[in-house]
Amino acid sequence: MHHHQDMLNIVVASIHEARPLIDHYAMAKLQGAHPFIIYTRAQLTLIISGLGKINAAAATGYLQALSLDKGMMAWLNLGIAGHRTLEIGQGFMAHRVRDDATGKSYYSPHIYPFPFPSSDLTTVDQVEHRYENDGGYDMEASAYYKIALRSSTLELIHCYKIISDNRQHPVKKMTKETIIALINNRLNEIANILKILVSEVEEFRKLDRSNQEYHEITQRWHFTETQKRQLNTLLQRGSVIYGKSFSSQIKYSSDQTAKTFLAHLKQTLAASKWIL
Amino acid sequence: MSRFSALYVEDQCRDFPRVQKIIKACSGIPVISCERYGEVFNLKAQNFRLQKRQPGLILAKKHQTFVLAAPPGYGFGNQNSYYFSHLLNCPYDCRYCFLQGMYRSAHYVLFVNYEDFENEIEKTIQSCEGEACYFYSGYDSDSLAFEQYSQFVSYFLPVFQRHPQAVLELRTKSAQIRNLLKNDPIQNIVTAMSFSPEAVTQKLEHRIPSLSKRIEAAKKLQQKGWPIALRFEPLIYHVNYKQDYQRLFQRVFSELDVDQLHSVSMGLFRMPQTFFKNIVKLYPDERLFASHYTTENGITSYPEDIEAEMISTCENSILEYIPKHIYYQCKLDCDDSK
Repeated sequence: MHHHQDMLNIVVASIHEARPLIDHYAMAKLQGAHPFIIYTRAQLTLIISGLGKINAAAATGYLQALSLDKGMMAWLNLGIAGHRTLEIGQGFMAHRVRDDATGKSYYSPHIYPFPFPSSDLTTVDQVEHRYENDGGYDMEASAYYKIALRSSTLELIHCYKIISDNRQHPVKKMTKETIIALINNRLNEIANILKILVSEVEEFRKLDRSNQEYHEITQRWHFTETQKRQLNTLLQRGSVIYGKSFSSQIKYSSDQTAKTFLAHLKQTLAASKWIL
Repeated sequence: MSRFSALYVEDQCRDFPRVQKIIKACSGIPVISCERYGEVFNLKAQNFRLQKRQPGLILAKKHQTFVLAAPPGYGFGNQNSYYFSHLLNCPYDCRYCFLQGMYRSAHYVLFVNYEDFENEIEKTIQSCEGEACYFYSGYDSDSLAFEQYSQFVSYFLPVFQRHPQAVLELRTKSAQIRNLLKNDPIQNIVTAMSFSPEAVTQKLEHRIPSLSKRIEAAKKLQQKGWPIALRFEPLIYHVNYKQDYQRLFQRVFSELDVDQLHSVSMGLFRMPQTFFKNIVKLYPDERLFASHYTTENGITSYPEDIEAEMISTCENSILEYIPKHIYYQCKLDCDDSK
């Protein structure tokens, strides 16, 4: 159902906010019984959470459970938001997401060169009409952050919002067409964000890749969990020291046990030269 | 253009003139409010390696533990040895540095209430009742690298000038010496410059100024009469280490006035195992950590025979250039690597 190429989970409150992405990326609905509507395509998985913090947390958690064994994932919360000052239609990345009810804040580091503004974002429980703080307002982001952080790292969790209302043009009932148009107008920006995040996850996973010999060796002998961890570390060191030729350095013999194999591997690595 | 990705400013110090000055100097980047710096800096789910690409600067107020006893074996002083950390994290990216394993975040934290540091330093000096005492400022960062923003030197020079018996060590890999050169030399303020062989610098010390620039900076300070110390810490073992360190010593000591040196030290690569493990997790592809280290009493280091050989070889080599009385070996259980 979920594949190892899955790299980016996208949490969107409503189907109207998601529609431009679904169409642009030709995403297909994930079959089967799920408590949320989910779309996928290549590295992307998109979930429609419904409005508000509880829905956002539940949807993020559900997507997280589906992708737990896929390695590190990037996360994006995408949707419309109010803002005190920014123009309607403007997109921004949240650099601080503050939960209005608890005061808890999350700070996404600015390590990617996104060519659009960043701003504070306050997650509120009721629609905001006063725009008191100079920043954006939404109803999901803080809950999304709280849950996404359980399985990913802050640098790969982001929140991009497009302004639908501001102090000059306060919130009112929005039509489906208006919402779709707001998102559609920023599709290039969104595509850029997705591209950057997917490429980040690719880089990250390269570092985390299990050694190809690991599976074969653990099939040969019985390794305890501690021994498996030791084996993984030793294989990782071996591949850094010897590169591709490492597999030819590993000697197997029938009278070995997991313990003696590990001791031998350790000895081989200890004899390697100290190179910078 | 600022060197930081963003400024995080604690609400309680936003109006400090020092903070306003830094905000002004960093125009063009987001200025983000936070209640306490720990909200940004201490969150568990952060990745030091990813953040290190473009860290932000956090401006915060420190509330306690301004001055701490220096760990045994650290530095050149007596039992009255202390350190203080007005800055956490360092702009350079040395792969052997323990800070990567100690902190979750690569953001820099600058504690801007220098006046409180000053008060505590004054109290500590008084508690030494006229005896010599030693203060190290480069334990959790580089003392000079952020001078352009922090103006740390400008603030603390007069503090230590008032107390000749209190020695301040500024530990650095930078060449940011302008604020020192603007002043007449103060004999109890020692600029301790760290050097490694070029081969080590190229592979492991990213973003630091070139060896030539740093030697030039040390020369300029020495010529003006400022006390200079040299730090060869941590010594990095590798197949060509003997030639590489000999070449480094030859170059450094031929360019500087040995008679004017305050002190010279060497130290081994050591760090708490927990930090070491954290760093290996961040850099599983790093050759430096793939070799065979040993761990004893929670400290990871080179095997004993390698340590003994390296320290003896490098000591013999260095003592060809300097008198023994200005040399010491830093025997800290947890190498600070600055």
